[in-house]
Amino acid sequence: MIASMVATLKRGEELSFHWTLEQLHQRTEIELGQLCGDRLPMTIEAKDTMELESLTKWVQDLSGILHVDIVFASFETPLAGE
Amino acid sequence: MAGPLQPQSEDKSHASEARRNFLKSSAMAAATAVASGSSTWSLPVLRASELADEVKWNKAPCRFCGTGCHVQVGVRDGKVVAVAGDRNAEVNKGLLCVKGYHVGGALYGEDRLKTPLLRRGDKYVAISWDEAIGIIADRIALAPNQFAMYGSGQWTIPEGYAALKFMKGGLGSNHIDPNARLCMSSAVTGFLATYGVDEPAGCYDDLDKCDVLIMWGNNPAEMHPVLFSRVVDRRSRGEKVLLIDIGTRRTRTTTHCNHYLEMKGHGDLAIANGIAHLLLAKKTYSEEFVSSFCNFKAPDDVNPNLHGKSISFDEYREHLKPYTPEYVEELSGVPAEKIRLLADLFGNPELRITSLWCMGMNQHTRGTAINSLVHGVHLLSGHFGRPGDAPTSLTGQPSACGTVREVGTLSHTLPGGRLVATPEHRQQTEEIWKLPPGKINPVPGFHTVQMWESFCTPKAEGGVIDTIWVQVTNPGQTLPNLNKLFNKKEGMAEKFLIVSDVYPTATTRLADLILPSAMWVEKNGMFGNSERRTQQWFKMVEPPGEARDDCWQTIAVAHKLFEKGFAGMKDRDGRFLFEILDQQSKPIPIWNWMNYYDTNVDEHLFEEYRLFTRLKHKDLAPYTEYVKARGLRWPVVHVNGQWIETRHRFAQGLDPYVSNGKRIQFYHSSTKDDRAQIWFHPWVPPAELPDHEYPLMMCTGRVLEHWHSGSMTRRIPELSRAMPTAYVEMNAADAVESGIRNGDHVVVESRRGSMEIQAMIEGRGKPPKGTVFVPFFDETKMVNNLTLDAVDPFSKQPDYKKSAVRIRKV
Repeated sequence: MIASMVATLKRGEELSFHWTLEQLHQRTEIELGQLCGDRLPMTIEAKDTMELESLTKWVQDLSGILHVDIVFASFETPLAGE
Repeated sequence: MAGPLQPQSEDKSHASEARRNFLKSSAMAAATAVASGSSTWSLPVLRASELADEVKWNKAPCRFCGTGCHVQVGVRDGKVVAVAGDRNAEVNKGLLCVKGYHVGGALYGEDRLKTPLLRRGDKYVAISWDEAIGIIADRIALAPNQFAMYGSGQWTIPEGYAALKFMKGGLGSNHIDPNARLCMSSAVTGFLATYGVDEPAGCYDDLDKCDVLIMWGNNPAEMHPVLFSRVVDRRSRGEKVLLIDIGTRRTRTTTHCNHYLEMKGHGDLAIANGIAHLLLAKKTYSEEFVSSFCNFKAPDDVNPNLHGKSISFDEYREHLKPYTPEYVEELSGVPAEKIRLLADLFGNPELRITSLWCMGMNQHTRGTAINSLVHGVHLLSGHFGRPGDAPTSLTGQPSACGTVREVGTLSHTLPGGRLVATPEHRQQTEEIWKLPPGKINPVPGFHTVQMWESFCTPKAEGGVIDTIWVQVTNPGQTLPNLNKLFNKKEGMAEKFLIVSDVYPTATTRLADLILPSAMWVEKNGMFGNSERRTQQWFKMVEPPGEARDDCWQTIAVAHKLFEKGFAGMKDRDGRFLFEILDQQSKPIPIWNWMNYYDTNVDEHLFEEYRLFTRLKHKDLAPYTEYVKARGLRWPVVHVNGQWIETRHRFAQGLDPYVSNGKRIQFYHSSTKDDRAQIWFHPWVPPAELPDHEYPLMMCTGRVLEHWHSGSMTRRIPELSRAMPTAYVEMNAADAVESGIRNGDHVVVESRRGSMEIQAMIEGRGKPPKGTVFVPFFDETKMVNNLTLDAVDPFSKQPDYKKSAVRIRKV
């Protein structure tokens, strides 16, 4: 399962910002895209929905993250509106 | 799997890796587009669980390309707030491309047109709809034969049908043509010349069944990514699918292919002949298929016509003799061993081969020829009539098939595959439309290039068209050779341009009257996609301001003419041409906007149009069936109380119109013998070749993030930020020779015009030395000022892929 999301980073917290990026870099399941302002695109590879949710929650809980929006999910994934 | 597939070792892990990479790059593109955009538009896949109680979801086909993906549209408080892939849709199974995820944003650009505008000198003044409709009706009444309508494959089926009936039935004029003339008319003539009837025999299911997929000048990884993912996905499941890219530059598609055959422009003509040459030389063609189901044809040089002249098998073989692999290599640039590879694949009856193409073969001054030749290779080798064994064209516009090819909004056609030049077809049409006999003009009208050339020529010099009404397209950006075919209109007071659109565009720039239109889910609609699938959706939100449906606009003008006593707008009983009666048999005043949605006008128009579809075995089901379905592929026949679609045509057991006992039956054969035509066409060079003065060959096209002229996608912040502007892709060696570095501003010039643009070297696409590529989506970089307006002799489609240019650093 492959999904992508945009994490919005907290502004004005330099230490937390770098620590958050470092944490994200260390997860092999996560690939980071190019930072656009305070928005960071990334892809996540997970073996199932539960793992995807768990990883998403982990990202969401990082101290430098304001919020996370899911953008894309491979079509094996249940999508909104069904 | 046997034969040539074996050396291409693609184990499951390698295929899974490719699939994974494809999905990851799509996922990252979507996320990057969102991250790059503003926060004013909601993200494409929202937290649906949080919104479930507040958001009302309904189905619609995507507004953009011809793939026909279905989306679920989420509406809250009268606004589209979310879009998701529709998992119940066979076409896309829930997947969308980056454009599809953002399709809802196309409704909410800041500069939507909201009121009719009339040019007064250098300014526009807001006028009422009544005034606008009156102005159009007056101009038509004054000189109906000098009026033309220009639409596109973005017309919904009912919109196109209404426009066609208005012009051909009401005005008795055939001066109506669509933008699709510029996109797929060579595919039409290719199908007609080969099978006697338009549109693919196969469907997208072929992508799930083929062993070999050959892409002829096609880049589906960017242009039809959802379809391409079906093949990439099969590989990830361990299936063996050989992908071959025959193209003029390396693209994202190339990276997934087992073979890349880099050809020169028009090399495809030589390649197809080379394959046929080897099939005959090695006796690996299907003698049984050919002797049972095919004839042979060649161009009639004395009396050039679409159906050419019959030739014998021996004459066909003689024509092909020169096309040895080595000669084909000389003409096309593709190594001889690769021609042998293709011929070996086609010569293997165990394989299932699908050919895929779109603009590369269609925008071609020998478009009819190359389309016919590719069909011919399939027929000659017997790779036809089984799922996965099919030549299949794709379209670029969402209803190029449904509205243009099936409804017949071309200057020479009538609904249901009827032709204006055929007396029987005119009579059938007059009967269904209840017109007096002889009402329909037997002379085809102006095709697109003729229409705009006439419009841009002073009347005193023979430019008879003085008024054009443009709906749902942007010719001021997409016509070729714009300085000749569009820009000359500027300052010509005797010419009057009416444009119905959603946003200001390059076309509205020269408009005399601008009408604000409703779009996509702001109105009811129906589209027909590339695989003969007819789709339906309902209006979900109100259009902004005074924007109104294009179909209503047409009917309102028709009724204004009717009120003025214009005879053409009455049927033979004196009734309004578009009359719809209520249950008390009283006319519903659908020409009044406030009453337009008192009934479902789409349904009434569609049910009338359906009568035509049975005349050429393109049967459509009742409107209500499409309400329930995510589209149905025609012919849709009624069997045991059910409406059954057709996935594959002309093969027994798959097509309901094939007679019992006939394995294959081309029941619309132009030779009236149930046989298809295998054509020989010679290789000829492109209409313009690079020379000392203009040494580079320029190709134009699209990019993943933008659709068509970008008038919608450039207003979606996420897509605009992801791909903000057009560029010229250059080969590194050419750049070095010209002293150009990546990102430099350069001037690209042809014999017809010039533009300044940024250079991109070794970027997403990689053109070979001597060639460049420029996408056409960017209104600020008008590449069509440079393109050639030479057309195919039969389809009248221009070639946007081969214009000689030169480049210099600014």
